[in-house]
Amino acid sequence: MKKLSLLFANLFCFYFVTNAQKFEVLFKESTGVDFINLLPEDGELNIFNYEYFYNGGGVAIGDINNDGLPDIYFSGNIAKNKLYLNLGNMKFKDITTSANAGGGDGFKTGVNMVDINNDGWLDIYICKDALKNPALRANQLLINNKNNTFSEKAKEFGLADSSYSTQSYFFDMDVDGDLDLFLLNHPFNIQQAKNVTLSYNAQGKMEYVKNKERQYVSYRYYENVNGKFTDKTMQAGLDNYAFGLSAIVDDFNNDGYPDIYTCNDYSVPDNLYINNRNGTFTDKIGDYFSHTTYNSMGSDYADINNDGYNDLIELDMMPEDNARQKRFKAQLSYDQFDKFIKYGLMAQYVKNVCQINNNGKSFSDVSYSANMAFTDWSWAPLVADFDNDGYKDLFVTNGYMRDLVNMDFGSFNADSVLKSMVKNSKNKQANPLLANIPTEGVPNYYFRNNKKDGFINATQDAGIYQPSYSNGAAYADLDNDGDLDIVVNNLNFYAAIYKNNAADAKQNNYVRFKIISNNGNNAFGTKIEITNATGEPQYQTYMPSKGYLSSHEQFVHFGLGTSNTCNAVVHFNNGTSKTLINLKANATYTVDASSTDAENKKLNPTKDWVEMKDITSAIGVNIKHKENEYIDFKLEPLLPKQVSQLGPALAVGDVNGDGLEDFFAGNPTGVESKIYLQTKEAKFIAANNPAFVVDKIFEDVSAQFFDADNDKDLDLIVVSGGNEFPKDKTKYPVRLYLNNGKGIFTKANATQFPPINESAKALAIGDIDADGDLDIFIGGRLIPGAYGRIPNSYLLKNGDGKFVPMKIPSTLSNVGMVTDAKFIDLDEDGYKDLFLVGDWMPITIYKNNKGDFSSPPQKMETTEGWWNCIYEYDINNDGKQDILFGNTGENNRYKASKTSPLSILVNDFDKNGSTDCILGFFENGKSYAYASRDNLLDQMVFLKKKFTRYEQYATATIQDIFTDSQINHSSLLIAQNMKSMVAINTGGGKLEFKALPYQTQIFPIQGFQGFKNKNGKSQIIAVGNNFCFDLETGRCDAGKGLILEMNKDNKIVVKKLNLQIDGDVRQIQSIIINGKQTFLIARNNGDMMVICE
Amino acid sequence: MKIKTLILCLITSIQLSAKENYLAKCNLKLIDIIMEDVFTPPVASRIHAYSNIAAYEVLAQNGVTLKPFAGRLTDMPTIPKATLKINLDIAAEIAFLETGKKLVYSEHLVNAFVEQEKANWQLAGIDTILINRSMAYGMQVASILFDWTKKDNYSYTRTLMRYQLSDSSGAWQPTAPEYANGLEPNWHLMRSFIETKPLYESIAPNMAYSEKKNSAYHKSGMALYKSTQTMDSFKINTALFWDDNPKTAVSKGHLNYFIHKATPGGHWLKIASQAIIAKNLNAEKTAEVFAMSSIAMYEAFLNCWTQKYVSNSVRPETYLQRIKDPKFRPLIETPPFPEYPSGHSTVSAAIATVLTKYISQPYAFTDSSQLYIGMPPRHFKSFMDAADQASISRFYGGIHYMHALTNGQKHGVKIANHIIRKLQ
Repeated sequence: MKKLSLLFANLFCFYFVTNAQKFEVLFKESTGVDFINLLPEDGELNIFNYEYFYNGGGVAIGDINNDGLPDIYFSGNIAKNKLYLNLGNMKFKDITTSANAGGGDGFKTGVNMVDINNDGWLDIYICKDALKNPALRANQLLINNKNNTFSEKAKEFGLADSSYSTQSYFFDMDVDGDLDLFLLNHPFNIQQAKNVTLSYNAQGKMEYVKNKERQYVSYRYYENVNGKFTDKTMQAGLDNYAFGLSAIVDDFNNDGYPDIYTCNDYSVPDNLYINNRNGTFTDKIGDYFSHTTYNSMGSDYADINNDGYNDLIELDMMPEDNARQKRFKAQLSYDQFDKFIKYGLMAQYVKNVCQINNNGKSFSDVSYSANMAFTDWSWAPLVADFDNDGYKDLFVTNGYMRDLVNMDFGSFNADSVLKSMVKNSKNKQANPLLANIPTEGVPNYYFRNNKKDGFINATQDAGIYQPSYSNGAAYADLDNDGDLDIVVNNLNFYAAIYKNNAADAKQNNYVRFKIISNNGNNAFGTKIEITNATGEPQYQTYMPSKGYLSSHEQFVHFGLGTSNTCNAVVHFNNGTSKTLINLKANATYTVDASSTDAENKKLNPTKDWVEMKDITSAIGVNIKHKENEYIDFKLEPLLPKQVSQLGPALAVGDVNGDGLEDFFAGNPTGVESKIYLQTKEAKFIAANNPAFVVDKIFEDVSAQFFDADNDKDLDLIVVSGGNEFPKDKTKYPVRLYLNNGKGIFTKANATQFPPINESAKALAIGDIDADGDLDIFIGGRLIPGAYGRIPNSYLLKNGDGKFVPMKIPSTLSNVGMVTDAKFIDLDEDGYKDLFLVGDWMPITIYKNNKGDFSSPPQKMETTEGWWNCIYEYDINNDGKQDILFGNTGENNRYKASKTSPLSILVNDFDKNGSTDCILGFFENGKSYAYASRDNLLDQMVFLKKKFTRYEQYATATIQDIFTDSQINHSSLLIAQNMKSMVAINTGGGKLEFKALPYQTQIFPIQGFQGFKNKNGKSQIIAVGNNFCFDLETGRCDAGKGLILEMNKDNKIVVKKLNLQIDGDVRQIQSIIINGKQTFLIARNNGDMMVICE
Repeated sequence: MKIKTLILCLITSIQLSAKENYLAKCNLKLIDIIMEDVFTPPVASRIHAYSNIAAYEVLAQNGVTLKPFAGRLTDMPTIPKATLKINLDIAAEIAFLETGKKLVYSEHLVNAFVEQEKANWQLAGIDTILINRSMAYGMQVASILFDWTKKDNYSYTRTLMRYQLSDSSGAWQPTAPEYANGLEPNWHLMRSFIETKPLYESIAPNMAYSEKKNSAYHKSGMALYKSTQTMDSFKINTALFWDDNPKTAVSKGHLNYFIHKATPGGHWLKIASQAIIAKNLNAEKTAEVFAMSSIAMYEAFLNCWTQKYVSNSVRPETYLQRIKDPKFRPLIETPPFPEYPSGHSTVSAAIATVLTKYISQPYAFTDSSQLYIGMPPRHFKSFMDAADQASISRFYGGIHYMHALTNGQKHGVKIANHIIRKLQ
């Protein structure tokens, strides 16, 4: 013991608070809490035979003697559990022995304070885990004897479960007024935890094989029948073989019944068990979530943006800083991820998620823009309003005793240690290996809510910088001063109390609720809405058992900011409600479910969404785009994102002159693109065009209808793109198809249209020389297999229906990796200027001097970004066309700013004929490569000589990796802005550039379409996403479609839609169907969607 | 005649150490470094081959019994003869080590070894000027041969598409726990030393993939499955003894590490070293045995790898989980490349054939090379006896069907005989 404290003595010091809200980290010296989750590493049970050895213990907080002071219970894994009585003033007394509350033998994990017998006195439920002997795994139930002692009665209640248990969740499953139990368990055998085994099922279909083992490992569901708990796991459909590390019980689908979200470590995906209201549950995770964490650990479910819907935070284990990231094990392989997607295991990523609730219909992970994607090996997220400003903050515990995922250990050191053990013929004990696994404590994290669907890292600001290995944690107002303090269970060090000083400043107010039911404490699931004096709402569910292995105080705490009063509506499980008016701040109110209002209020979350209709099937559209399988990273491991999935093309026009708009839908290589004709009945049928059959080998990524030959019908230009065919330009022809007037197209010959072979995307059509015919700009997107090299762009002049490439300066022909182009007459001189955006390009404007584009372009300062699209629309109704620019947004790993730009160095560094693009970023003023050592060395084998170990690479800057000469001979592209923007046209050729609101920055915007809504108001739909990012970043899939409009103050505001325009959306086009403006939405590798107001 | 005598006079042949065979020592060192750097079997074979060719060529240029490879191996340049008096053994050793150094990653390990050797030579009383001159010559040879290695498409194949998954029913699939990319799918583009590439076409074709009962493929699968259910300790130890997986994953949730083992080729060069020492072969004979063995190793991998990605067969692990037993796991880890034919079978047969030819028979031996991973020594009646066991170990290990073993072995013998015929 002495040794340990010596070892850690230097890790902790005290911090005295000055101005803003801070935590004072208190230990046994001042609190009397001398609990240590002391875990001898070299015992019979150790990390080599038990993978969850370092997962730590929990904290349960509650007032066990009803003296108004919350008491604390800790679980120790091997150490004895301890109960501390709160003496007030942050002093505690260990009464474990006298209270008979030690929890007995065994490996203790989750702890929970809950009034199981509903006698008004809190009981304690203890989970047990790990040990082979089932008797030592029997969970304990300590029944409160109402005199500071407890009696173990698990068997009497039917709760002496011997599963490998993580944590208990008591909740009222059937809304019958008593508490049922969901017990989160996990399998013992970890050997195949990451495997994805495939086999044929009885129907002969290949599927992912789920493990059928249930005894001691499956989740358990116990129904409370008159105080006796009965195992109804199988009947309820809650049996599962998964490494559950935490769960959330709450009403996910807002139907008044509690559902269960389980966070599962490793390959088995998380579950969202929706309560079918008949004693059974159905897993509907995929209906609500686009992706989850891979190593799912702790979780919380609370409303972080005060929209009346709880948001889900779930933690993983990716470190934040460059060096630790590079020491750590890389992600899944692309081939394994491919199996996840194909066989229903969902997209799972090694990063935290912050799943913002979209009106109860879906969730969008905004972890990157919320600034909390990476918090190292993390356990408990605590989402609560710690600074009482009215917005919930986030506290995260983290740390792992041994860096098991250290790549040098796994790749090299373990081997040499094991071999020396063989050589010295010692017994194969864990110790020598253990000593070689690095150990590095990390500080816990604290984030303040930024009131923009996210957080700001305030760890140091709040006085938290002590490295530790922290696991379970719980919050409570321990000193009754009106703010939430935090209790943390540390591994191999004293438990800590983070005393909150928020109330000391007396700036912000609070209000607290105590919910009781039938004179007891079991009102879990009660929902509380409050509004402060200025009408700002807040929302919480009363569910103390959350986070990780822990349960919080038995109160519902709201910060009120500076508001002195609030109103509250309390919604009980049975559908009754209680309204409380004009509550004074800084007080605690007890609400009893047995005395409710006569009239029951319905929950009233913000319903400020725009209603639209999905008419896809009603109009007979059943168009599936199925992208060909091609993983760009297998040729170019250093790509930031795949560029082989740019399609589909989508173009709208009346091709057969019947007055009804038809559309062209492109397809990937191997599949014929098609025109769909609108019938008088407002249905769509595919037309037959042999020319498209012949050209199906091309990947059609962009298309437009226009009258190329002035014969008064719409011809079609189609651009091929993608990355699949390195070194074969002939696979990327731009094609012009001429219309015979009846909607039958034939390909223009070489005299009509010049051969242009370029993997392109951008297409702008306009009369550039005011000669009455339409000319064409084609923007080169990329050089296949050589991302970062600049392709050619083209300007084609129309002369009597014959197109001739114009001579243009190289500043235009090699302007960049262009993604979109528009002809817009900015200076109103009658000649349309050319607007371009692209990958690693600034917003670029070429002035049209009477058909001549050779003057140097105007490049908008610090707008270099990863742009997707340009859209012209008069958003402020001032009669002048404004311009919207869709960028990649800020909800991804790649942060770019003027002071810390992103860069790529493009060169053939190893002179082997392949282009190497080195994506770099800044950390503390130094430039590092994003690539993991494995990826970098896979692309450039010569560097293996330089970096024979991960540690050498972990701290290497780009200047360390390459010589000055190599760097100087590279081409450099930068990005400084990932935000989507709007340029308000103020007249006279002037544009005023602004970033679009934060809600639009959570996904890559691929398209905009403006319309006048039924009230005549101008609105714009913004759609997008991009599934093509590397596995470390993960899919950008937070986009569900948004509506932009101007408010009275001439500010752009953002509204959600009732519909979910999710998936890998690439295009949105406006089309008139049945006389009504309607929108076609094309997805890559997904179904076309048709919506209208 | 006069010239030859002159050359002979220029060369001193001091026995570097009475006890040790320096090329055997160097080969063992290189095996360790390759193991440290975790080179895969085909890439390792390239390093072994060029290093041993370098030593051979020095001894052949300037010695008396060996016939130079230059002009006989594809595009191999002629190396200049030493113009000054050198120590031939030092030059050969340096040529070996410096060539190897250019091809491995951990150059510092080679440098340290060279330093140590140099100190030994000085201790043995060899004139420092002579040492330096001999080393310079060895380095010159290494440099010329390194230029030659650059054109063997190794660098080019690094730039090509890595293995893209195929959905066709029998196509190879990555396997647990690493689900690694298919290894070296473009290896068939590597330069052959003696144009054995056409030979690969004569490998018997793989069985047609089938999940139907009573199909040949299904029967093979079931035979393997049955065998894995009735393992005894001899079979288990055989599989482990010949595992030779350079990167064996131990995966327990987040606790992952790799055990490095010598490749199949490395294992066989250890066997060769032992035989060379047992037979007390001189430097030239030693160089010949190593060079022929490692050329055979390289060509065997080249042929076998070409066929692997032509047939592109799933591993038994994938197949048996699909159709028989989702819980099936092979005893040893399935390596990340297609099943047919067995690389270990092909390479073992090829090297054993060379060794049988170049080491006087009969030769029975005890292979104690696997002590470093805790496997006890095994006795073999002959090289072919060991090769047979190496081959069947893949069946016991549950990673190959019998068909892949027998056809791999047959082909290994054929390649070796082709090489012997061409290079004798």
